[in-house]
Amino acid sequence: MIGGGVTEYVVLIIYLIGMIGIGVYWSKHSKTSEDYLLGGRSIGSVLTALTLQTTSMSGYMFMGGPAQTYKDGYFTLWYAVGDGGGAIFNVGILGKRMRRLSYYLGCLSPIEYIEKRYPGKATRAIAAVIAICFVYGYVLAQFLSAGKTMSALLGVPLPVAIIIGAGVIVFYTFAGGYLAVAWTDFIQGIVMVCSMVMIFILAWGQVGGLTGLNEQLTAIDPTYTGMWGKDNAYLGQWGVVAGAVGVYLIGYMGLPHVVIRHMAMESPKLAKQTVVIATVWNQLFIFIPYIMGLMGIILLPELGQPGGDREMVVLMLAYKLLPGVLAAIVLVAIMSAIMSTADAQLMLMGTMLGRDVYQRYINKEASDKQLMSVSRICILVVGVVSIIIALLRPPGVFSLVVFSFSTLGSSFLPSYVGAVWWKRGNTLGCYLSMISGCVISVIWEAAGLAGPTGMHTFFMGIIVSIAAYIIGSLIGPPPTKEMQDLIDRAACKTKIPAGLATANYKDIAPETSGVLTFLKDSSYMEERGFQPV
Amino acid sequence: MIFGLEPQVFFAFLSWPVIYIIIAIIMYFVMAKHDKEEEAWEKAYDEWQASLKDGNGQPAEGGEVE
Repeated sequence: MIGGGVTEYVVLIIYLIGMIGIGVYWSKHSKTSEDYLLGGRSIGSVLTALTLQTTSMSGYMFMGGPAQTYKDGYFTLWYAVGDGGGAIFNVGILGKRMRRLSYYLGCLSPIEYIEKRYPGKATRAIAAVIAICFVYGYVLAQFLSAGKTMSALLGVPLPVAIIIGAGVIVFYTFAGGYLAVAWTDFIQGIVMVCSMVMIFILAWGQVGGLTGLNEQLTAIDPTYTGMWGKDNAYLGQWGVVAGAVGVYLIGYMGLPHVVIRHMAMESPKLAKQTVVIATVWNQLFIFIPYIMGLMGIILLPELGQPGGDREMVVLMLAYKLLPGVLAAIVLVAIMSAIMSTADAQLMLMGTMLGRDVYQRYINKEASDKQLMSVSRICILVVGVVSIIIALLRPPGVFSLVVFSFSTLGSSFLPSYVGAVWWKRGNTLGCYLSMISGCVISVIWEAAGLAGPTGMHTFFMGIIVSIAAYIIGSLIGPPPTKEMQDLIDRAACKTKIPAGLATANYKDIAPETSGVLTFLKDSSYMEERGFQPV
Repeated sequence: MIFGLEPQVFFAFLSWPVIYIIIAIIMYFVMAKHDKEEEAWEKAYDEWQASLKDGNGQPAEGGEVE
């Protein structure tokens, strides 16, 4: 136990009550299912950027990332290099077009979007099964993280910590829907980045700045500041480096709980601000934790000893460098990182079960009010069941997160990107891509093939999934003319007739149409000084 | 050495925040330019669609031939 004082309890309780308050507040503002599930598509650029990034970053950034840097030195920053540019790819490639197409297709969930873009009897069933299974794995992992963090930091028993931490997330998501999730993410994002920057600045002074840090690291072990990890453990392994960079650079485009943020944007035009805000936030929040892991090597050498818990490096730096209340806020920041990911996933589970299962297969005539109620109930049920499973038989957090991330990314990325960038992308390609991406990821993970082959599970899954999407799309029939027109429209590439008269004269009497065609195509008018039609 | 790191190590890891921010700013202006083009396109598209709907076989306003 690191904290456990009255200050930590007071700060944490205030924070948790604040989150519940946001849920209660927004519960009164959700009148329709679109309000509840997508915030009425009214989310502005700042909110979109922060909810997008806080959803993407879980407690891993406060604990797992710095711990890995403490162990491997600069090599771990390859992950940060990929992660830092993730928003540029995610928003730049998908943002505007996905927002438009999802709106034209009238979709409320990322699975419904897949089904409408790739119509077929099995589309929604395959997509929903994969998404529900693996997003659920993610939810479970975040609940466990929340419980373990609270338990380790406050000294409360794990079951009590899980019930409190997960219970608050379930409550505000259940009550307030997407708007509550977006606004809590916004506040959590601010807390996360401020806390991180605060400790970073103080630790920076302690180690003598970047030069001082690197010189001290080199003095301890020169391989800490090399490109290939401590003791050159990854020397020449460019495949591992490419995987580490690539996974986080493009991987988020395949996560349903992340891409749904594009669908909720108020306007496609907000994408440009979102790219800048999310990228700046990323540079602050992604690189700093990793570098703090390096600072920990200098300032907290005891964590490298047997029995030392490297995952506590950021928190121990906070307690070493900050006064009590501020250190307690760092505890809140860690909880924020976990909760902002968990709430988005829980929200998505409710959306998918309500819209993609209940309304699609159980009650097709469900009213808007019924859909909202069912989604709420699903959130509550999923939340409670997850808490019970976490209490009874908790699986490993890290493996669950990596496995869920890899499988979701491999299964959906080609279909989401192809949906707006390749008109030829069709239902067969989508089927093959989802199934092969999921199956390969599961086999790769279950058989433990990542180590012997040097190919990361996600990397292998995504290669097979992309190939399957392309092959399937080339073999199968192309999408309908209407769908291709919609994709063109989402890209603002529909060809508009040169003059409106051109559009109209086709509808008027054949004789008049013929005369107009003659006038338009010949030089008759121009020769007589008339304006061209 | 740059900040106590070999130059290749420094550029491989620590130059990216600056590069990404520059790319994001460039993207902002590129997307802003696209937004203007798309706005003009959307306006033309809406007018086109409206003229088709309003027309019902008759030339609509703006689509008439003088």
